[in-house]
Amino acid sequence: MPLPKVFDGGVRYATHGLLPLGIIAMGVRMDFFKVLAVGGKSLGIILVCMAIAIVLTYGLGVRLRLPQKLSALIGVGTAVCGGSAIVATAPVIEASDEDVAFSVTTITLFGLVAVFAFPILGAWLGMTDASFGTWAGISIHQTPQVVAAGFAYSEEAGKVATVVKLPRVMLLAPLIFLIGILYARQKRKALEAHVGKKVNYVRLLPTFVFGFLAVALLNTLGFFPNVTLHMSDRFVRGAMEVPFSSIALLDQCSKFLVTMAMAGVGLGVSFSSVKKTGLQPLYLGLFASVV
Amino acid sequence: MDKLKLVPGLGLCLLLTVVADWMHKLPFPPFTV
Repeated sequence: MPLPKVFDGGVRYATHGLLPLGIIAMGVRMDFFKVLAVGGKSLGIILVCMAIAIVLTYGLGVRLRLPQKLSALIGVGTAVCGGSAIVATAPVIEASDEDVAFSVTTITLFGLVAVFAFPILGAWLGMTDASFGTWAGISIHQTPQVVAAGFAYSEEAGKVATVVKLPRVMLLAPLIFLIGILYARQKRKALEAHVGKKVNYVRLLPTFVFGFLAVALLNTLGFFPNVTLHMSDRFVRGAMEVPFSSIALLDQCSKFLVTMAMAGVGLGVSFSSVKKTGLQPLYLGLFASVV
Repeated sequence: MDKLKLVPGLGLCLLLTVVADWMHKLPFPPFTV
């Protein structure tokens, strides 16, 4: 059932207008120093696992004759942190709303299955808290799902899982930039073949990628302060101190804008297009989760 | 006014966002973006 025409403009604006703003604000979740501090020892293994997840998922997607962009999104969603990673990567590679909706559904679904299956498997295999935590942190998709599965196993496993998961989320910023460059290179080649002259890389990358990186850099350098407002006794509720975190505020704004955009994406997708794509993305998601 | 045309669609998205936020507070396994 198509959405009545009266909703079209707003829904399209939510997807294309609000999403870039949400992604730029998402930069406050990134702190490059934290990646090195927290991930330190496990950074190597995390990088290897992420690279394997993306390359294998993308490769299999292409073999299954799925659209390239959809395979790339499922790969990124599996490797980094599910929904937000997909939503942030989609505009960089100019993916369609259908691709976004399908990959987010696939990733969320298998992430949920993992929340229940991992603790059972872990207990069955007799894993230690540390090894279960590392396993969950590296392989479950979304942060809340990692936390849920980790703490379902044990307190210690939950803590390890959360620590291992953090650098994965933090690596989103460099990954988006890398994917942007790769996509721009591909597009440049195609354009050059078409137009016959050199095309500038920087112009091919969407502007919000730079905004996102700038906010991440400013956050890393501590430019977003925690402020306490000292209200005088003439204030309506009397003299009081109001603590206020600019990071928390930007994070909330980002979540709100991205959720609005996701609603727009969902409203813009019809079941007929989902039927056209078929069930293969789900198989790809299953494979990616198993990897 | 062109901007007025955005109101119904954005309103619908806002409604879904509020519902998603409410669902997130339910005691089920987490669904987050």
